[in-house]
Amino acid sequence: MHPFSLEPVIGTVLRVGTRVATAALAIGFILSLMPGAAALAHAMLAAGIGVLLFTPVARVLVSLVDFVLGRDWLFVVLNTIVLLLVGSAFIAAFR
Amino acid sequence: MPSPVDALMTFSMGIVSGLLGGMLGLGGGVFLVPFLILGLGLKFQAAAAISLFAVIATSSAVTAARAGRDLINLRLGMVLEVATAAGGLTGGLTAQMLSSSTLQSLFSILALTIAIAVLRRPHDEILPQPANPGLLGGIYRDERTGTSFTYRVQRLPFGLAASFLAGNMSSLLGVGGGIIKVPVLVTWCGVPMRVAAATSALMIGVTAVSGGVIYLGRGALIYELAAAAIIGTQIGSAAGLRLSARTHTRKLKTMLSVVLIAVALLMLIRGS
Repeated sequence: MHPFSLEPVIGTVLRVGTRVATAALAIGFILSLMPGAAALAHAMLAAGIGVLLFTPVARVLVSLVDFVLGRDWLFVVLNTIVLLLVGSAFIAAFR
Repeated sequence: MPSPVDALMTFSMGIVSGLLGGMLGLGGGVFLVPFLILGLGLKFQAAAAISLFAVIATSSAVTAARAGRDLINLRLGMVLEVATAAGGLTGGLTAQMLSSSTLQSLFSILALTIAIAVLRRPHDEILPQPANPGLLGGIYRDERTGTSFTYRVQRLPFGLAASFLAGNMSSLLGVGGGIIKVPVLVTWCGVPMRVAAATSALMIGVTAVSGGVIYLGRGALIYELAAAAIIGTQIGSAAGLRLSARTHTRKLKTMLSVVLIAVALLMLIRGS
């Protein structure tokens, strides 16, 4: 069997990621309404967007680790393919 | 820099989109995209970009809230995710090759077809219960009635095809794609409604990242409006989840069909 129960771990990863991202976006948004804070506002908004993008990817990474530890090779392969596809999207976006 | 009025409108629609998304197992993008285009006069790409990021946030929050309640079929999700991620990537790349009116019309036809299919089968079929759920099936426990039953995943190729198409539509139209996957999983693959919704929401995060990052790289994302939409959807989806626990499955399916038809007509009008 698997060394740890995956679903609660996934829940924690997604919860923390979403909360951090939302907090950064909220601070960035409030700053964007203040005069003279444009650079800081943009940095906070960009950080929030970055964390938001990474959150589902982190969920796949955690799943991958679980399947490797559980020696469930079919799902190791499936998760790796998903990561490669998402990685390709990042490369296509910023090349 | 968008005006505070625009930001407030975006925030409000984010709440409504998140509410309906949380209740129906959709990302809520189907509401946000038309609103941003019709309400704020944004270009399609700008609306789709904001919507995709709101969809990522909704998917993550909704899945976090559901995790540990045996609703998400992780194995099925991870199989279908390969198809949605591939669809998301190719959809993002082909976004410029096809006209948006062509895509909107295509989406309308597809959404109408699925809506009819769901309406024709208004409740879960009571299938003979298999002795074991197989590699991808599971045991579903209804929280209201306390009963549980075993299901196997049937016609996996249908689920994979729908997931690929959903991923494609996600990137092209700025939606989550649950609107395509959930009815197919329920109607053709024998997955219980709530499991289909929870599993679809899990996949939508990664799918929307594949599409969203391409819009971000192209500079199509307006950060301030995205922030307003995301904060709104977070509030809305939390409320939507609470409501969905009290809504009956039959009502949920009828709502899903009505939403599908409404979106299809809206897209058809805009696309023509």
